[in-house]
Amino acid sequence: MFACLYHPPRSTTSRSGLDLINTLVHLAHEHSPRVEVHGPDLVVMDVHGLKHVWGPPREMGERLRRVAAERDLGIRVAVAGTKMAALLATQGRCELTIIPSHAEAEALSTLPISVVKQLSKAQTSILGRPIRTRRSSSERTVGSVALSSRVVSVLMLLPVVQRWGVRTLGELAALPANELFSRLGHGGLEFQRIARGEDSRPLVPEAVAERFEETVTLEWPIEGLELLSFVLGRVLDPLCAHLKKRGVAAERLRVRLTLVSRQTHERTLRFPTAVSDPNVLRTLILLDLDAHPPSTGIDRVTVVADPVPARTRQFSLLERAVPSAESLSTLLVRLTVLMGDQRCGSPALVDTHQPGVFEMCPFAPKSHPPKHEQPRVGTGLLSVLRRFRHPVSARVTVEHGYPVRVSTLQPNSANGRVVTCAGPWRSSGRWWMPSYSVWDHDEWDVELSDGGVYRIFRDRVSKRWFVEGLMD
Amino acid sequence: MEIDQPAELRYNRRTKSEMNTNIAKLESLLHAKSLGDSLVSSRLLPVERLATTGVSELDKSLGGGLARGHLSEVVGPPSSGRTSVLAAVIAAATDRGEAVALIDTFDNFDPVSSQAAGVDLSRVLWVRGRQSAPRMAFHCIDQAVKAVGLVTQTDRFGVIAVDFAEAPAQALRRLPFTTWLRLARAIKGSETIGIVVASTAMGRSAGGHSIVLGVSRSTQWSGDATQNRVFRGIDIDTRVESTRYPSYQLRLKTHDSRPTTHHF
Repeated sequence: MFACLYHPPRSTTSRSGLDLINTLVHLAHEHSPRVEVHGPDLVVMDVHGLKHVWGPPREMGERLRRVAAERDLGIRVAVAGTKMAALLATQGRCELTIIPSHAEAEALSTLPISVVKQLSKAQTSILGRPIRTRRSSSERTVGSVALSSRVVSVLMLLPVVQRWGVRTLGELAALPANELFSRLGHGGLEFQRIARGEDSRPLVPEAVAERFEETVTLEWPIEGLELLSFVLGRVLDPLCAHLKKRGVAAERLRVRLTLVSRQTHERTLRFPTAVSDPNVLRTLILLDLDAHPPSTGIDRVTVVADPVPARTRQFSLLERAVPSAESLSTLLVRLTVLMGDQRCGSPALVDTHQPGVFEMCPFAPKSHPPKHEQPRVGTGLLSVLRRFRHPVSARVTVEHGYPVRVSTLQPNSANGRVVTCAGPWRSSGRWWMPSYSVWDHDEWDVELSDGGVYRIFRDRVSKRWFVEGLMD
Repeated sequence: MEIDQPAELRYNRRTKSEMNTNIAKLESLLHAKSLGDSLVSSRLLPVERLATTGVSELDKSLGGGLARGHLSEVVGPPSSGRTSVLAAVIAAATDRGEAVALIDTFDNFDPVSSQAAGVDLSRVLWVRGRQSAPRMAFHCIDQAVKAVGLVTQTDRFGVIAVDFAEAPAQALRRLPFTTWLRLARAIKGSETIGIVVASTAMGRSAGGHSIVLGVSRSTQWSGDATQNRVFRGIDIDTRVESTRYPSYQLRLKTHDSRPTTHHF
């Protein structure tokens, strides 16, 4: 059995739009877990097997109308064996219609054929317009749900049928099917099935947005991360089981700690990739709380997860395995805690000639086949610079325009007589920018008597010498 | 005194066979305790457990490449090609599609020249330490060792490299010797190549190699005057050491990776 709740446009209510559909959906969900939205004021619910809960259909219908009236809604209710019959019946005049099973065609036979147009109008009025119901997590268009029922598709046949003199649904239902098919094709048969109140597809219930939240209230307040770790285990295990059961993972986690001082210590963790592993989540929470500890003892722990569809990954025999996103999330957080912000990631080059400039990007290697089928061999060694991130200040003795001796205060850095040198290469830039970002260098490659080959430069702005790096 | 010759021969033969049996028993015991890597008689590593360094001469001397699941070291003084060898290994790994973790103790990695050497930077997890004064060096080294510990807990890194090249010897000596054993144990049996770059030999696992660079070296310059002179590279005498093979000498040549520039 299906019950249809319809709020006629002319009925008096202060509610409108989103509020109206939310109230209708909420009302339907209070009586059945399977609810399908058909329009901004039209909802169908599956009431199979609910006779023992809400009583016989009439009693249920009256209850629905009464509860709706208490919420300032004057609705029409129809209970029928098929969805289509219930939908059409609400378009009639009756406030409450009960159609026994297998008597849909007979019950609908007296309805004027124009109810199909009314129903279509109710459905198409929000065609393509998103509806966000209070209990649904994502926006959905009615077009994707209800218009797949065939009402709109047969609407163009309505004038034809009316020209034939067909005035009621019963008259259309009584027409011979083969004759109807020969004149109107498949659409005609479809129209006839609608007139008989037959369903072409099962009810598609609206997905109910679940709240992924777990709370543990402690008998005694706890202090310290070690104890909290056990409590988090108790919170996160069922939470992650719930997430996995629904095929989702946490993209963001809100940790709310109610303290003994009646204050709330709240932390929000956003992950680069959705995670549903309790151990990973626990580690990430503990690392975050280690950096931002609560001020006093904890009375209650609440964890709320914002779900997103879980990541599914197809592995390939042809690709090298790279660290999984889950393990990388934990690793990067741990490394950041250890080394500091902006100290871990992948380097990326910047479009500039300024020496030593780069930017840090999040490390997220993608699996892809090797660049070359054969391993790269025989390319030889290319000299790489070992750069001193902060150039080391140096004292350089210059004779006839060439450096002859380099010395620094650091014992491990460049110190010695210049054996061979090459240069200078002048590099400058950002002279059009504020003075602090200008660079203007004369670079030299020098081989010192200690055997090291260094790149040194003279800053033409400050007239000072620096050691930029070591050719190694 | 007369010696019973046949009896002595019999005795020798018996002793030899007993000795072989005992050695076999000892080896099997060591293998059972996962301590058989250091045995010279261990089987050669299969090709799939070796990874090319990207330098054919070096691969030849390494018996095919660096061993996966083992800790190797690249050792040498400044300008001996340590960073170039490391960049070549990383470039070869990223070329194979592997992820690489580089723990850069004193923040000396240069992305520009490394990319010119063939490194795919997007596949490198660069953990940057800080350039510090010598008195703070041990703190940086300690941080780097901890970072290595964290990285080794994540599997599927093709190469995990630690750069201690700028670390003062006295600061490195303060590390407990178990550090290297722990690191070697962490990557043992995995698909990861562990590499330590340092100025002096510190610790490699039993199946790893020591690439000792700069036994002697000569710098190559082109041009006969300062104005037209260009650094071309370094010729480096290199020695490859390992437990299983005799020491191997070779000569490596580095080439300047910079594009041609013009004098003013």
